Amino acid sequence: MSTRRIHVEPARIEGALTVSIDLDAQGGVGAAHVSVPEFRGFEAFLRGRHVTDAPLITPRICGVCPMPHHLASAKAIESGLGVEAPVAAHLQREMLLAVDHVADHVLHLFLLAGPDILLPDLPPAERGLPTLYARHPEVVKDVLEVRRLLQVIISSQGVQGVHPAVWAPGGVTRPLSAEDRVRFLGLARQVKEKVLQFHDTVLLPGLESAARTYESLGRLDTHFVGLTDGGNLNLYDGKVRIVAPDGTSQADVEPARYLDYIAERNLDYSYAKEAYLVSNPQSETIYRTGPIGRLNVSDAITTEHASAFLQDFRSNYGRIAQQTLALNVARYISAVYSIERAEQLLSDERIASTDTMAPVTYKAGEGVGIVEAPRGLLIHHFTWDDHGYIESANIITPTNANAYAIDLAVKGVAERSINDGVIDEMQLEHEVGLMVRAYDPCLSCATHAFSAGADDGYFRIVISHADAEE
Amino acid sequence: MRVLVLGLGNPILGDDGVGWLAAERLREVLAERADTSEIEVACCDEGGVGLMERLTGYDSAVLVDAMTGGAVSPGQVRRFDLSETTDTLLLKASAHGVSLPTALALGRASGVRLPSSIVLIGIEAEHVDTFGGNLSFEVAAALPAATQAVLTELARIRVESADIPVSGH
Repeated sequence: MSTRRIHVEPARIEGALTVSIDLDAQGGVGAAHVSVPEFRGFEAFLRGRHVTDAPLITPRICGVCPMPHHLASAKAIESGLGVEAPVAAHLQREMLLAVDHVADHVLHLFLLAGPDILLPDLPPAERGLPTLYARHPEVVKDVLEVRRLLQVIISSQGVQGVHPAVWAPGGVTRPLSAEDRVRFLGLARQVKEKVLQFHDTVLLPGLESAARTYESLGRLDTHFVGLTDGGNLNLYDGKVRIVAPDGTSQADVEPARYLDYIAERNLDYSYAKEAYLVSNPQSETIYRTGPIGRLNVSDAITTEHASAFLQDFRSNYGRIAQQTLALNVARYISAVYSIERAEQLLSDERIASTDTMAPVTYKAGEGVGIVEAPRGLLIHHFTWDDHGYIESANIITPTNANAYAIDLAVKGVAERSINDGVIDEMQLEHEVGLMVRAYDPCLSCATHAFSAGADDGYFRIVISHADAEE
Repeated sequence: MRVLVLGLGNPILGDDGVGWLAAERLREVLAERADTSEIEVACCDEGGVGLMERLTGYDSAVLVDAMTGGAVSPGQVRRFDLSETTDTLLLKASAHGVSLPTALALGRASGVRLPSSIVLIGIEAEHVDTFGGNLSFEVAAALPAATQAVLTELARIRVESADIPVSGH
């Protein structure tokens, strides 16, 4: 009996990803892997360019997350040159990063993962934005309105929408005016109100109920990694905290020492590199990062509602949450934290100071910049020569770590739908999609070439059967 | 009348940068012409919902982008009309991703003010998976044709808008 290979390509993720499942001779699941496309050569593309170009070029890695890339590069250069940006620059950057997180999270939670969560009674093939809109038009309208309000803040400090070109090594080149501070504070409060309303209306009832229904789906027990400032959740600055699966041990790592703990390798079945922990010399250890990582590594959250929601989250999912669909709940809490944090930062009058740039003198250096991107810990590491030209670049994205987790989880998910050679395709497609989208993997790498051959979209669901030997 | 010409793609990902280069070329061409103040030329590397949001508030839009799977050889230019009110998309079940047509349909249904005319000029790409600033030969050679195709659209938009009686005239 020949073995069979099944491919599943979940839609509604930012990019393209293929799940391959090999059936064994008994008709059960043999091996299962995830392959993701990688757009190659970015680190080589940076070599030989001036390091001041890095914050302008790295946002092009990904059309989804330009802001965190921009910021990680600027921070890497500042750390390598010993430059301390003024307070107003730090406040403005953290505020814009927080706003970026909110815009990203509401898009993913409600429009990309939303159809699975909010339309569980429909067959998977019928779940999408059109049916979501038909059933919950107010949710879709609220998401678009939240993103419109946030875009007012983002675009005012950037030259062009999502591409904030006002940041540079040393600080930010454009001070925030006193009038804009007050105006943005008003916008942030409007957004906060809407985001908090999602808690009681469709979101938490939908997300919590899905997490209960699929309690064991794709469950892994892993380490978590995230940024904290003395144990408090922080998106912008601090140390990298690594916690063990049971929460019994943890390490707080200076960004410059990240290589002592995190490594990457190439995979034979995927173009993307996978990131893992090397802190235990006996074995490599998987880690996860992202909203659930941020909650799991933090002792506390410093904003009002997110702090209260964190307590509920811990009583539902434990001190170190490991459930797959808890990732979506964590993403909501992370969005609440981010908008509350943006409000705090805009309430601080120092954010509108005109002192926003520190002088930068170039000499040979090496620097690491780490921030929390919406999908988790993002690391930029450069070395450059006396004139500022880049000699080496290393960039570790959150999806490099989370793709490893998705890869490990997919076999268990497939086994729920495949028995004795009988495949429940509808369940397989639904559950693989639920698991993959919970991680919100971002594989888009900024290529948006118009796909003329597809009837609707860049991402497609295809389940095909073929002999593995072919 | 506000018209947006938007170069799409990633300027450092091989042929995916052709939309940005076409936009740069159009900016130069339009700068030499009189009476183009209503036309804004910009670039964008978003897709789906983010791209739909970028089009908000304009009366007409011409997008120029690399394309794959256009059933033509690299460097060939094709025109796609995305202006139709795609109510049918909302009725048709779809589990596919958030393509621009889906995002546009969603925006229109949600009351987002989108251009009444949206046309995409696609240039078939050869390679879009390796970082680098250079276009392949065929795609670079297609830049004049792509630029001309956008100018043709701008002329059409001007004629059509002149046909519409404006109150107060």
